[in-house]
Amino acid sequence: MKQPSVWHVLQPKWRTMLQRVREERARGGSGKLVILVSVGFVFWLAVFGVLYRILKYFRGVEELGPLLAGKLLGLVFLSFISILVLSNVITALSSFFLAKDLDLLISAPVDWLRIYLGEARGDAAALVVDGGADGGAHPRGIRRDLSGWRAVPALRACSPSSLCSCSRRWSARRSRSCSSTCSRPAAPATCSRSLRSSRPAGSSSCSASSGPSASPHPKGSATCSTSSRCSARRPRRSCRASGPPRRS
Amino acid sequence: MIAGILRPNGGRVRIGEDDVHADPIAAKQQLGFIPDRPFVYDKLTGAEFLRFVAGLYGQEGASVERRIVELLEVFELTSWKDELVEAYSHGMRQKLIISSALIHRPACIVVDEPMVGLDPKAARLLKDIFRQFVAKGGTVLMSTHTLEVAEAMCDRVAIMQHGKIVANGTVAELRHQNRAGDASLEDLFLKLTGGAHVRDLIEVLGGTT
Repeated sequence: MKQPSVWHVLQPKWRTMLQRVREERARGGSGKLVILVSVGFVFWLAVFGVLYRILKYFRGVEELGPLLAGKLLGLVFLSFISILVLSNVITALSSFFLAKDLDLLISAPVDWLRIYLGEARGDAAALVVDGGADGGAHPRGIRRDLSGWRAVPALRACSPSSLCSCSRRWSARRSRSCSSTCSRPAAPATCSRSLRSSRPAGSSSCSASSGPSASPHPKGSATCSTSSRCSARRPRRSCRASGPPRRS
Repeated sequence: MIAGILRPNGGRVRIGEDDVHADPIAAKQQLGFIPDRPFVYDKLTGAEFLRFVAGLYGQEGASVERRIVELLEVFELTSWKDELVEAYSHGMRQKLIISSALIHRPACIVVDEPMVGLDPKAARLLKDIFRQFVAKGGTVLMSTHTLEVAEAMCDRVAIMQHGKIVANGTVAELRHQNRAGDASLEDLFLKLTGGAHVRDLIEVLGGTT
């Protein structure tokens, strides 16, 4: 028998989303959308501004500053990842076992993997973005609120969800690096990039080699950000974003 | 368990030649399931819902569209075809669910309390559909507490108590086994499940008032 695609299993969800958008438009809800986007923009701008100032201040501190900034960013990033992993697991489990349409799907001749991908991944992705603000609300509530403007971040959030799964196989540094590149273009990463791009020429090549998404790994970032000084003191250590320093 | 939602502790469930738990895809392909509290996506239209369910059974294209039109016509939902399910009444939802269970032309239908929420006309229609379905070689496994419906519709009746079958057979066989004469299925049920004392109690209470 021909199995339905995951897209087909997800069909009610995206159709529901589209319908909600249509209803919202019919009610003249575009004003609400503009307000939400504006508030979101102002919020992220404020976060960016505060973090930029903090990191700029750290950078000004001799010797310790860049290392401190790297540590701070690493800490922030690890916190985000931990929250994402935890919320993913909780949401995936609860939505998979408590979904109202589960009986309908299970009683149909559909492969379990397609049901899983349709149920758990969709809701988990939504929670990754929305759950942080809603304080771990029940997935049904999330789904109810999953109107059009939330669809984009929900889809984007699939990537950290997947990356979190990969992190068991990959090294922590690689996972973090990929996560920051693909899915978390938020203030910390942006600040990090902006700070690195304004470094002196000697270290900027180093930043470029580490890539714009280089995660604030303590070793990597410390080596890079202090590269001009490091290379002066330790000429044999190559300036690399990845990997532990070589023994001299 | 029959629909493959729960895993049995023991025993096997076969639909045709296929074991529900060993080969669920093949077994479920032959099954139409109408649960007691069915779930319908509120933000889909009736036609979209039927199309979605047909897709779950691997069916699509012109034949499905024809079948949708046919079923909606039978259940008098044609004018509601493009309306969202959230606008449907309970009875209309029930009809839609029944349509969705029939859309892939199953060999067997498992139905739990099918008459709940249906108007007399729809209830009669459903009885006729089930009879016709059985006459064409299909099987309907109906679970109900409405014993009049069971007595009127079922070829064989199994009475269950505490998860075990206490009696099984045609209504005539059950009467014969229990020496119940012309007793109704309700009387038989009460006799078999020990509910007869409830009737005595009501009579006693009725006598004192």
